[in-house]
Parts: sequence; structure tokens; C-alpha cells
Amino acid sequence: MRKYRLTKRNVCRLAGMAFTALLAILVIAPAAWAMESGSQFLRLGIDAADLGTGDPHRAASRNDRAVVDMIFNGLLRYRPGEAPQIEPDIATSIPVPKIAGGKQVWRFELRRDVMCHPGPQTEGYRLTADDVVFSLRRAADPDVSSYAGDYEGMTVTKVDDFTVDVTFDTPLSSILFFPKVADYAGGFIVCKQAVESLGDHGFATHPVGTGPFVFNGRVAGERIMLAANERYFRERPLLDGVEVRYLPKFEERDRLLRDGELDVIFGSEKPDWFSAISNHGPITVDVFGVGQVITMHFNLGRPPLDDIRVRKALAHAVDRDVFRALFAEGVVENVYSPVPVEFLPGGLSREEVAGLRLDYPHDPEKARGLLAEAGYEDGFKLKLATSERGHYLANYESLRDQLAAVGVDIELEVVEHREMHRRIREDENAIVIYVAWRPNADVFLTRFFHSDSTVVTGESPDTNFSHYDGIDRLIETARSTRDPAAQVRIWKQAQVKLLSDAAAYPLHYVNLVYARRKNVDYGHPLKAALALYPQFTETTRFKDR
Amino acid sequence: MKISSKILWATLPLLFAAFATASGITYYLSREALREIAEEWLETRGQEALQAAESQAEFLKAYSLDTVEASVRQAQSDAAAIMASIDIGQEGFILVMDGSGRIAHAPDPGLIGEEVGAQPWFAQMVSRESGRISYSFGGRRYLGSFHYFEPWQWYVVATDPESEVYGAVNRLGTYVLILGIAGSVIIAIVLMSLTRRLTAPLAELVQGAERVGRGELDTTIPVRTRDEVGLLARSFNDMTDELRVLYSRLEERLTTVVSNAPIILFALDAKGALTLLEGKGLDTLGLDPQGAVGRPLSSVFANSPEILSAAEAARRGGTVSSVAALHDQIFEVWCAPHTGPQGEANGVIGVATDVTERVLAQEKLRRQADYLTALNETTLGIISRLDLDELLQAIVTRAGEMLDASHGYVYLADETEAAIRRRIGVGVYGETVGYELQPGQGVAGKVWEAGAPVVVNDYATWPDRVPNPRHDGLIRAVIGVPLKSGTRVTGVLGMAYDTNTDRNFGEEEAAILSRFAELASISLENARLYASAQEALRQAEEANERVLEQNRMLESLSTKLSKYLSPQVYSSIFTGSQSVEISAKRKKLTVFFSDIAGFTETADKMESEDLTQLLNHYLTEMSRIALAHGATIDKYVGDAIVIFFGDPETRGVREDALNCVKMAIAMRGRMRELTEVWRASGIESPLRCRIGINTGYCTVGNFGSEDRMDYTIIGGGVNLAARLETSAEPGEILISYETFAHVKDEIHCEERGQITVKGLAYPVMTYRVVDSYEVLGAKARQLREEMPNMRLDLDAGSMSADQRVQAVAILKKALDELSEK
Repeated sequence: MRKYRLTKRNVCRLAGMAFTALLAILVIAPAAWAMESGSQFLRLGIDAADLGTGDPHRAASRNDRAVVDMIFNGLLRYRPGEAPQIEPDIATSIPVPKIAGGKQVWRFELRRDVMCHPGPQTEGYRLTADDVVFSLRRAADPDVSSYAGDYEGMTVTKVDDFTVDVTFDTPLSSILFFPKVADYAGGFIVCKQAVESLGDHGFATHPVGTGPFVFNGRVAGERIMLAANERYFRERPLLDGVEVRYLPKFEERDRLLRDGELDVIFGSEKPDWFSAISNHGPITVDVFGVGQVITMHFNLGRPPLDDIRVRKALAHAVDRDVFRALFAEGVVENVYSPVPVEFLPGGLSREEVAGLRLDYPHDPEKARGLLAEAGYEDGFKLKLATSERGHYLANYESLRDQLAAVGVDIELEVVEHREMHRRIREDENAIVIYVAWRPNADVFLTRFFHSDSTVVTGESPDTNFSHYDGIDRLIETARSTRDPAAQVRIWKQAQVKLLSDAAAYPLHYVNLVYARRKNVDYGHPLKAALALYPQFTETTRFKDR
Repeated sequence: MKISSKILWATLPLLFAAFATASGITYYLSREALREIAEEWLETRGQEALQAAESQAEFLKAYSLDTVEASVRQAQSDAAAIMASIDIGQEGFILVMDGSGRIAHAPDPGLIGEEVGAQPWFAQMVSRESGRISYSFGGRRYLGSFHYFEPWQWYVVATDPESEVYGAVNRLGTYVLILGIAGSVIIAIVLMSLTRRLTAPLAELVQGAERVGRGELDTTIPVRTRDEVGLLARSFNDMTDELRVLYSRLEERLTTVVSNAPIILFALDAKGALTLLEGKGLDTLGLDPQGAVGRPLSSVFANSPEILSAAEAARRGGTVSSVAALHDQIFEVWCAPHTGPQGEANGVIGVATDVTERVLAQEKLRRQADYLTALNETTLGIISRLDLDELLQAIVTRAGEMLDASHGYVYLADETEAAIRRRIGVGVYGETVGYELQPGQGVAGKVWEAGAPVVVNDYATWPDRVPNPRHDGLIRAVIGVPLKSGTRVTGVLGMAYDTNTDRNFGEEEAAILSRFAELASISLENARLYASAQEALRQAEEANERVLEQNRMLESLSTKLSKYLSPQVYSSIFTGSQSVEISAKRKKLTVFFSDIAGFTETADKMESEDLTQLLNHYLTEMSRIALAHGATIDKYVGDAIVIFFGDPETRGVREDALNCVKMAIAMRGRMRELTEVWRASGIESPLRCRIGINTGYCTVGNFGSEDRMDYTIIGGGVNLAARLETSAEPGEILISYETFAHVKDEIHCEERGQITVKGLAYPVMTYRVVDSYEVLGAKARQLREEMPNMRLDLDAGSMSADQRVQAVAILKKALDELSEK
């Protein structure tokens, strides 16, 4: 490791840094917190009560993901606002795998100008292979990482200070591998010394990374403060900092935005607000991905849905456009396969599905015919539990209303969100409407349709609410296929099969809705962001300041 | 037509033709090659496409999706997508038709669904299931490679428009044509300009050559280039320069020749009129060339018909050589016709060379050669004669023949050299042999006195002649030349012509005869030397005879003497290897003593005559054996013999000792044989030898007084040998240890005990000689016993079968005798 030598130049630099820090504390910070006009601090209002965790390997909620996105980097990153396009982040280039000793090796050369933020116990220091190895191993450790399952079979080794080899016993395609080392979930690189000095818990309350913004303080239940990283390896952010305010109530966020107290807020899909705010002079609304996919899962283990004719009848009985109309224009888009083709490789487009006649067009007559064929000419009754939350409740209610038209009588029980999750995992619903985002097709298909993931009875029960087991081999084959094109073909075939079997009926995906004051320029296009917020980077700025 | 135009017209069509052919072949071959490549390539692509379908179908099967309609359609669409990604040039593509001929997949969505089942090429595909196809579709020609994929009933065609396949070669054809025409034109232009550049200086050269041909030798051609043509021009200039120089030099030489050589050069025109008449030969003839030109040849050489006829012959076209006499001179005439440039005869050239001197010289030379031949023959004829008179006769005869003279003589000086005497004569001189002249008397006397040839051609009136009635009036001319031995005049050779001829002697004859006389002198000298050599030889033979006589006397003397001396001593004295003087030397010798046991008793019983005979016989026999073994017989003392080995000749001590012992064994053997002989002559008891032998240092040499010397040995070794002899039993050979040591390897000896010898401080070990091992081996089957009244000597090994039968009979008889008592 390089010793920090006290040369004349370094003394000057130290002095400069000290002066800057002093200036930040004495001048900028108070000004920022005072939210004076002309300051370069951006204020974000989000729909959570508090920061859940600052540890990226634990951060799972949309709001926590937004915070760690600003503090941390990955070896690779989704191009800001343009997911799922990948580009190098800490690594100098996107690697090409090699086979060595029968194993697949991805070699990463690291940038040499990446600096860890100063932490409560640590000085800022240069990030090396040691940090990367530590971080990826940490991501694979189920005791400290929520994403350990994604890293099974992975070995990380340091080649030299700036070279790291990631090895897999079973080769992976780049589609499956890159998300593991991108700036998403377990792929975030943490600073080893900070983690070790703070401990996992301490680190969660004071995250130390290498990103454009440095964690700079927290007011519990109210806000956290992030300051610009002066030594960010891309360039110093144009913003001086970001303030994240926890405002679970939409109305408050809306008011503060309108009042100019906030610059960006997490919005609402409600059509009336949407149209209202869109016409408000200094405010504009951004709708962007990635959208969580809402799919209707038919429980094959629950009569009468064990009869394919019944499932097909249900599919023909509903109309995607009716569901879509529940939400503001543009916020929700129809999907035709469980994997959203708009955001991930491996999905099926509407044309493809229609060509295969698997789009189950709205046809109540046909539905009734099928039911009659299955012996349910008079319909049947179902009792379903639903969350009180918007996407669930609205969709369930719409489902109830639409199925009523073909004689299927659904009784809804509205329960707490968490309660609904518990109950559907206990295999209570014959039909489960589920809202979810998964990072790739494999995870989508494995967790929703592999027999191992079957709720209650599966080997590792997860979210296979359908009890479906028709595509296990296809999922596994696709997972171990290294050619991305072939892999995509297999994923598509898997979905063709499950759609043929009418195991699920994809409804739509929900875009993210954020409103901002028009003087905020994110500094990048905004089509889709895996960070689930508009992404503030070194290029984000106020246009008028 | 100029060369450049010729080249152009010759090459341009060829170039066009070559380019056109090359283009055509290139186009055709390229098209064929491209077609093959394209077909291969389409086949590969078709296989790729087929493989896409197969892999999808296999996939369906592997995952049991082949019964799921949507899965199959998806797989087909995946396969089609894979096929669509297969690149076939810019315009090629994969076309998929179902079994009914409906296009199922194509890159152009507009084509999908189109029916091609009625197309003949589709029928072709259906009939063959896979292969290559060339077809028209949508107004375009296509090449294709197709495969039938049975599970989906697909006809998969990898196809490419021919326009793309052959596009390159079509473009190439145009390019090649344009390039060909352009290339031909460029090459033609280049050729023309090159030939122009080449031919311009050549034309100058041609003109120059024509000028030189006309005799304008000062012609020079400008040298413009450094190439071969330039070199040619330079060479041409050098050549004309050279010609110019040569011509002037020739002119000069000709002038010199004509004005100095004894020739006459003339030329006639077609009409026979002189156009040239020059040469120094005219001076010799006193002719004036002036005014002769224009006149006929006969006006100048009227009195030489040879020249006129030669000129005439040449005018008719022949080349003539002849000899002509003109005034007192002899000319060699050479005439040849002179032809014009077209080969027409337009005159005569003639050369008359004055060869008078040459002809005369040749005549003289011939005569000299004749003389020399005669001289040579003559000399060879006499030179081998050794008898003086015969020789002299030959000399005179040959000289006469040579000079064609019938009279001649030879005078030789007498012993006192006061006068010369005629030793031989022929012709008139034959009758006066023995005639004597004093120096200065007559021709011969003058020659003898002067030592030089004398010629008198008017002998009759010569004042110094010696009057002789036999000669007077008869001899016309005389020549005399000296005969010499070294510088001394030893005689005179003379020749004479009589008055019957008008010949005289000249210098030439004098020279010839002198030379002949020199050779004759040598022969005379030889004869004289031969005579004296014969005399010397005779005297030498006489002396030799006397010496031989003396030698014979000496020889008989020494032979008698030798009998009293040992042969070795004799030979070493008589060959001079040892001088007869008192001297001695110490040497290791083997000494032999023997005597006959009981000889005194025997001698007493015998008459003196018989005794002498017996003793001499004995000693002769023993001596023969001794000499045969190389012994030196020292002396005989009565019946005793003293012999030694090792001086004056030695073969080495060991060899000497061995020879001595072998000699002793031989003597003993011989004695047994002699016993028979002697018994027959009345000597009852056999003579038996006692022999002692010792090897040791002795003093050997001549002992005695100045007047009487003995070559003998003395010393202890001699005494020991004598002592051994006296100790020996009759028939026994006793040897000392020293001798034994040398011979024991070859001779079988038995120890006999010690004896003491007077003068030796220690006793001497003695050995009895049995025989040599060599003989003992052979004697294995011999039986030899002797006792009073009985002797047995049997050699069974050497007997024949008959002899054995006989021997057995004898021995049986003997046994019968003995057993009767």
C-alpha cells in the first residue's frame, strides 16, 4: 500500500482539503440546510418514513435503493436513466469471459482513481482490489447480504491491487452475470476499511462508498444529508449535495413541491393528480421505468383452476385495457409475458404473443364456452385476500368486476399489505395478483414459475403461486446457457409454454412517476432506472443556478 | 514501309487478340470459379439454415414441446430469425417454403404467404429434397442451395441473385476490356516511339555505310545515344577511321613495294590497252613506263610471248602463273582478270616478278647439295675401314668418284717426316707407288709444305711440276689437299683430270676435297689408332699369359701347403684376413680331444703300411666330419685329434659348443660304421674313440718362432678337454658342465660324476653324451646291442615288410642256435 508522504505538495493539498472542509462546515452547510435560493442542494421528497438501511447489500426497498445509488458504485453500472444498458463503472472495461481450468473467469481491471469517502473512523483512501474482493464476498455472505443467493458458485480473487478475477464453476451468460457486478443490489462495492471499522450495523447507519455523493448526516425520521464527493473519480458533482426528505404522505410532498420547498418528489399514478400537476407551471412529471410488473397467477393446485379450460376462460374473461384504465395515462403499459420485454432481454412482445395466439384476447363468449366445457356453465365462487395498497386493491377489484361477467363470483378480503403477503405465501389465494421487479428473466421465471419456488410445498418456497412445474428444465437450461441469444430464445420458449398452459396472465407494468420543478436537470435521459428514482449523478444540476 | 509502322501493324492486332483472349478466358474462368464458390458458399449457408431448424426441432423434442403448437410456432420463428441473421452477400437470403409451396419465412415480409407451388423450380425441389438450383423469381435469376426439413415440411433455400454472384466478374469483364484496349494502344505507342528512336540512328548508319562504300572514308556518323545503336555508330566511326588509316598505309606500302621490289605491275583495260605500268623491274629491263599507258601490252613486251599469252589467258577469265625470260632476266608472271562490281570482266591485272637471282641461287644450291650427298656417301663408305691400305685405296677411289676424276694419289709422310711417299695411286699414278717427294716438290710437296690446298689447272705448263714422262702431256689439272692429324700434316690427297676432259678444279672443288680430306684424315687417324691398339692388346695378352703361368704355380704350391694347415687357418691366411705373424688373443672356445682306445696295441700288431693307411683313413674320415661341422682342426698327434670351435670363425659360444658335440656324436656314429670296413680289412677289434669336450676361455693364435709358427690354442680350458678325453670310456663322449650348459636343450646327456683336474682348484662336473633329442626321437624303434661274440643292430622303424619277414626268420634261426647249446 502506498504510504502517504508528507511532502510540500501534500502539505499544501492537506491544507486545501482542511480549508474546504472548514468552508463546507462553516458556510455551505448552513446555507444548504437553510435552503436558500441559489444553493446547489437538491431536495428529494420520497414516500417512506425513514431510511431503512444505508447498507447497499441490505437495501431492498425502493427508497433505500435510491439513497445507496447516490453513495455507491458497482464494477459496472446501468447507464443512468438508460437501464438496462451497461457500461464500466469502477472497472475500466466490460470484461469478456475466459475459460480457465474448466471454470469461467471474468477479469476486471480497476480504475486507479477511485477514492473511498472519508468515514467516521476512516480517512478517504484509494479503493483497490482488496475492497472489491471484500465487497463481492460480502454480497455472497447470507449473514450480511440479502442477495447472497445470487452469488452462489462464485469465487472472487485478487490478482493484483487493481485486478480482480470473478470465477464461476458453472459458466453464466453475460445477461445473468453483469447484474451481479453492476450498481444494483449485491453488486454495489463497499469500502472494506469503513465496514471493518464501523461494523455491519454501524455501516448501515453511515454508509461509506465511492459514489458522487458522501453520506453527511441524518435526522432520524426526517431526512438524510448527502454532500458532493469532491474527489469523485468522474468529476466533482455539479450539485453541492442532496437532501432526502422522508414524507410518506403524498399530499405533503405535493404541497412542498408546489411551494418550492422540494425540487423532486415521488409522485402518484392517480389520473386526476397526474393531469392536474402536469398543467402546473413550474412543475413537470416524469414517467419512466423500470416498471414493476403486475401479473395474475392462476393457482393450478386449486380447483377449479387445475383445469386448463377454466384458466383459459379466466384469461379470455379479462381485458388488459380495463386494468390499464385504472391508472393515469402513460403510467401503466400492458405486458404480454411475465418478463417485461421493454426492460429485460427474454420477454415476449405483444406481436409475438399475438402471433402465437397466446394473448388471450378479451372474449367473454369464449370464456363462458370454456367454462361450460369444463363443467362450470354456472360459474364458481372464489375468495381472495388483497392488500389495501393501490395497485393491488384496484386490480383485484377490477378483476372481481370483470369475472363477474362470466359468472365467476369473487369475494375480496382487504387486509394489511404485509398480511396479504403472508397469506398468499401460505397458498390462500386461487388467484394472486403480484407486483414485482426482478433484475433479469432468470430471476423472474425462477422465483415465479420454478417448482422449487412453489409456495409452501416448494424446496425453497418463494413466489410460485401457480404451483407451476412445466418449465423447470427450460429455466435451468437457460440459466446455464452462455450464448445470450440462445438464452433469450429458451426464456421465450419457457414463457410460451407457461402461457400455453395459462399458468399466469401478465397484466401490465407500472412506470415510476416522479414530479420535479422544471429547473432541475437530471443530466441524463430518463427512460428506465433500476435505482427506482430519477438518479442524481455528477451531471445533475439546476438549470437556473 | 518503315520498321516502326511494320512493328505497329504486326503487334497491334496480336496485342488486341492476346488481350481479347486473355479477357475472355479470365471472364469465363472467373465466372465458373465464382459459380463454384457461390454454390459451395450457398450450400454452407443452406446447411447453417437447416441446422438452425434442426436445432430448434431438437430443442422442442428435448423439452417435450413438439406437441405444443405455440412452442412449435415459436421455435419456427426462432429458426427463421436465426436464418434471417445468416448473411448471404448483400442481396442473398434464406427462403423457407412449406410443403405446399407457400413462403413461410423470408426477409421481405411482403413475400411471406406468397404461393410458389406452381413454379417449376419448386417442383424440382420437391422431387430432389436437397441440391443446387438455378431459378427465376420475381424477374431475377437466382442461384440457390436447398434442403428439405422433414419435421416441419420446410424447404429451406439459401439463395443469392446471380447478378450479385457474377457482379464482380461482370464488372471485371468491362474493366479487362477497357484495360486491354488501353494497354494495346499504350504498348503500340511505346513500341512506335521506341522503334523510331532505334531506327533513326540506324538510318544514319545506313547512309554512312553507303558513303563509305563509295569510298568516302572521311565519313563520320554522329553518336547520339549510349545504347547499342550508339555503340554501333561509335564502332562504325572507329571502323572508318581504321579503314582510312589502313587504306593510306596500304597505298604507301604498295608504292614502296612497287618502286623498290623487282617487279613490274601492269593493268589492262577490257580492250587490252595498258592502264598501269609501274615497278622497279622496268629499270632492270631499261624500259620507260612513260607513254606506255594507253598502248597495247605487246608494244612493251613484244619479245616475251609468255607475258602476252598469260595476259590473254587472264582476259579470258583465267588466273595464270608462268615464267618468262625477258632480255637476260627471268620473270615470274602472274595474271588475273579484273572484274567490276557486277562481276563482269573489265580488264587484266598482271605482276611480273624478277626471279633471276633466285633461280641462279637455286641452281648453285642444287649443285652443292649433290656434292654434299656424294661427300656424305663417300665418307660413310671409308670411315669404317680400319686397314690402312684398304682405307687409302677407298679414299682415293671415293675422291675420284666425287670429283669425277680418274687419277689420284695419296702421299704419306714417312717416320722421319723428312719426305712423303706415295702410298697409293690410281690412274696414271697407280704405277708409281712408293714415289718419294721432298717438301715443296711438285704439287704434293707444296701441299705438304704449306698445309693448304694447291690447285694447278694448267699442269702441262706449270713450272714447278716434277717431270715425269708418264704424266707429261697427259695430266691437265691437279689438285692437292693436306691430310692432317691435329695440326700436323701427315699426308696429301691429290686428284687430277687428264687431257681427255676440259674440266678444271675450282674453289668449290678445292673446298669439297678439303672437307673430304679432313674426314679421310680422321679415318686414317682411326686406322692408325686401331693398329696401335691391336699391338697393345697383343702385348697385354702375352703379359697376362705369363702372370697366369705364375699363378698356376703358386696355386699348386699353396694347395700342397694347405694340407698341412687347418682349412680355416689356411683360408684366413690366404684370403689375407689374418696375417702371418706372432700374435694371440683370448677367446671362449669349445675344445675337442679324441684318441683311439688301445691304438698302441693295435698299432704294434700292424705293418707300417697298413697302419698308415688305417690312420690316414681314420683321420680323413674324422677331418671330413669336423670340417663339415665348421671345426678348426688344431692338430693330429698320432691317433689323437685336437679340434676347436670359435676361432677364427665363430657362430657364438652356444652354437660352437652345440656344433662340437654334434660333431662328436657324428664321429662316434661314423666310427661304428668304419668298424665294419676295418673288420673286413683284418682289424679284429674295433677301434673306439674316447672323446672329451670342454667350453672355456683359451688363448688362441700363432705361437712359435719367427721361422716356424703354429696356429694353436693353449690354456686351462684345453687341459680340461684333454683331461675329459682321458677320463672317457671307449665310445664315450664326456663333456664339462660348461659345455653341458650350452647343449642341454638339444642333446640328451647323463650325469657322470665329478673329476678333478690338475690346475683347477675345484672338481669338475662331467656329463656323458647320449645323443641328440632329435635322433633319439627317431631311434625309438632301434635296437642296438653289442657284446663279445654278438652284435645286434636293428632298425625296425626303417624296415619294409619283406625285410621284417626276413629279419624275423634270421632272429628265429639265432634263437634256435642259442637254445640248442
